[in-house]
Amino acid sequence: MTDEQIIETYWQRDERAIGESNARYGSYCFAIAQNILQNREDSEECVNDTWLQAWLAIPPQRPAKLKYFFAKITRSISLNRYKAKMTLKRGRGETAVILDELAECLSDPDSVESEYFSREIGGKINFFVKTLSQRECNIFVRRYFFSESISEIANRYRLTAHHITVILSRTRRKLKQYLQKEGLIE
Amino acid sequence: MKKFALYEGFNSIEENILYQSEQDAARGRIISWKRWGTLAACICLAIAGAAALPGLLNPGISGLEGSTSSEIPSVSAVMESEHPSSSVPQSHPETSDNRIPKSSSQADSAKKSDTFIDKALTLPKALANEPFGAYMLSEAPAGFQVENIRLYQDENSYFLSGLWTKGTGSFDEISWRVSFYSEGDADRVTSIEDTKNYDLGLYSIPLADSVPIELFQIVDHPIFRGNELTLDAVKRRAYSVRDMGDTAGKRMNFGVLYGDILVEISTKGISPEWLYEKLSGLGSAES
Repeated sequence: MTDEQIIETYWQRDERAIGESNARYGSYCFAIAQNILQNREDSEECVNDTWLQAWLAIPPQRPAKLKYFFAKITRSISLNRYKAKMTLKRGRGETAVILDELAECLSDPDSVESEYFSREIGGKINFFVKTLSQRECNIFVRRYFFSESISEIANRYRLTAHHITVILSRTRRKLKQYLQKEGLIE
Repeated sequence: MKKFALYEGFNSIEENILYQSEQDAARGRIISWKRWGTLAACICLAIAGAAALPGLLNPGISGLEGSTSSEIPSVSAVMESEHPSSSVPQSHPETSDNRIPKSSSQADSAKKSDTFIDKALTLPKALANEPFGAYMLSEAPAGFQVENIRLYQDENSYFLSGLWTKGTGSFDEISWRVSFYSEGDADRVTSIEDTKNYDLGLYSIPLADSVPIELFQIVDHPIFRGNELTLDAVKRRAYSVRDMGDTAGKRMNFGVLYGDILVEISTKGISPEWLYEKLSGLGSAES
């Protein structure tokens, strides 16, 4: 089934839509969840929850790019699950490292975010990545959207891990300056 | 927590940007698969050749029939002598013509090597490296300092890379990477005449929004042939972006092919004229 056919199946409230989504994008979504959670069972549950949320969202929505529509749902569910687990014990794995890296962009990373911050941050990040060069943007997205490890990104772009680390560090510094300029952080 | 909200904020990134990152990343994987495919093909040929050899030498023996266990080691002996696992290619062929090398024996042996190297080098040592040193950047503009030079080799990659920066407070940088050309790079090679393949003046940033999908890869990272490179082409690769919190400065990224050596550059804060002069020096040194 093509993406258009899968979307049409959702619109027809035909439960085969879930099976088709899983067949086409199940492993892709699993990889996204697994990068964040590092736990097979949790990741599988997040993927199943993704189809449920998609079922609730389509209709009325008609995603332009189904793959990334699912990716965003999976990422969101996985982050919520990670957050819930973090309240019980300190988060581990790559996600904890990523959060520590992102903390560098903030002056008070462990404080509770304001309503303004929560409302604005998504749009600001989306704007910020568009100001980056293609390579910086891609590497930044691989790291902080897809939660990929440094070595995986280095392998993808045929650069050394150290080079990736330098690029990410510089881009985080730019993000911090941008967020300061936009008044989202002090 | 704020840092979590920031992490969640990445969910707002537009889908075309996610797509763009996936296309670029996929290219690396394709190259990797092609390299493994080449290796697999070589193994098959070696086995087939070894199987056919007794038959050719002695028409009375056909195919694998009659093969003895003593013949099996001869297959691995052939492979070892052709692709020594610990060898590093020692020189590059002096080619400067227009043709795209299919794949050189040195490139092949580098691809098939199971040697792992990840070594930090000084600039003099990098310049003395065989076969890549002759194509390394020997001198950066005033203010730039070497941040990192590495020689890297694994089963998929073999390259010499260098990063020059201006230190804290500046985002200017020169990234220089020398490797063997591989067949996976072929779809990024462009002639100077095909400006639609590389002229960034024809497109708006982000490229994902403006470049036709079939041209995206080549426009994003084009490769010029060394003996065709012009200052005009380098200038057409220069672009500026509204970089929040960044210093002003032109960016450039592309590759240049010298025989079977590929030099890939990504810069910020240097002039096209300076870069062209450096790259032309490499080309003329070779021819």
